[in-house]
Amino acid sequence: MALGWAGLYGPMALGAIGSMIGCAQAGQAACGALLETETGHGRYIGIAAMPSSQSIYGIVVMFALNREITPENAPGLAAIGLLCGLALLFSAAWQGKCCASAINVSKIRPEIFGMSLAPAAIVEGFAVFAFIFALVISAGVPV
Amino acid sequence: MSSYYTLITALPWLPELEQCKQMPLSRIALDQRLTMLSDQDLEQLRLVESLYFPDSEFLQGNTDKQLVSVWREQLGGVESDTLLQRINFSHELMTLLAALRSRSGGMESPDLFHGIGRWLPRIKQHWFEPGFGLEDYFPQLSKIQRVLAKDDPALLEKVLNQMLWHDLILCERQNHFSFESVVCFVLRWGIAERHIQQDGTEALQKFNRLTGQLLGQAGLHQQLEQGVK
Repeated sequence: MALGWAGLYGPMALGAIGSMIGCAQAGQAACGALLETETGHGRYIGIAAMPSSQSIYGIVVMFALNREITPENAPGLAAIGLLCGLALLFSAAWQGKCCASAINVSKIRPEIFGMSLAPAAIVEGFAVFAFIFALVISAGVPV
Repeated sequence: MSSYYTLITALPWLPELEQCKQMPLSRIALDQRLTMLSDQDLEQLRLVESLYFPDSEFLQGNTDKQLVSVWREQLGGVESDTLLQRINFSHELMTLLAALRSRSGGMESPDLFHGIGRWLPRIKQHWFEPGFGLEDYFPQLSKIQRVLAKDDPALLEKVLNQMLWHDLILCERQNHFSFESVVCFVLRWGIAERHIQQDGTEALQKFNRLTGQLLGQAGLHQQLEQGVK
């Protein structure tokens, strides 16, 4: 039963932890870039917020999994919730590193700003996979 | 060692060494940014800097044996293996250069030679071979020998600076947002500053030489004297 509850709240909590790490790393990089540049400050702050999306995915998965927890559905909820949460955590944390790198290089050459975001977007894509398939699979967990 | 996201992005971009004509950041501004480092890391940075850019008075006031002894003792205080490798590379270059100069200066016994680094035993073992048997380990050796043969200290300094610069760039690219990356930037900043100062000195020497040549011409000299009168 406890695992069931962990699976239910896991995507939200782990996604939020990942977002905290990712946003903190990218945010710190953005602060440094503000010191070094005269313009384009808004875009740095915007990139720094990119890893926050994993928290939103976590909330949606949590609502999708939300049901009365029974001994029959607890293992299923735990498996989907915790694995999806871990995927969101790692994707947010590593996306933060990608965003920090994007900020660092686009500070030097603003014209490559769009291209420098590609790695962060690819990481986001994997978070979306984890999110979508968690929703799909959650339909099979007994209510 | 800590991560320094804010500090790394607050540092300006340094162009290639050959293209460095003006420092993008003064030492005062750099030091202000370096206050973001923890006390322990700042101490490590100072140690690495002192080993990488030894003070000229310290170099001139001590024998090679004393220098090596002091450096060996100080190297034990460097905590990062990555940074230790960078310092060792710099010291190995110095050792190699000193060996080439000592040999061409007439030193006949390798036992009298003092140096530091991985190549020292090989240098002593192959003292009478042109490249100390290091050609395969260090392909740039032939370039150093060619430049040394031209007897142009400024050019030699540039070549050595380029080698150190590339070593630091590679290290910086492998260590994102880390303390090592900060130190590599500071060391590159030091090389760039040395390069610009050297360019300035060279330009001044060239100007003085040209002025001397022009003033040496009787016609111009007379014209200048008339002008003064």
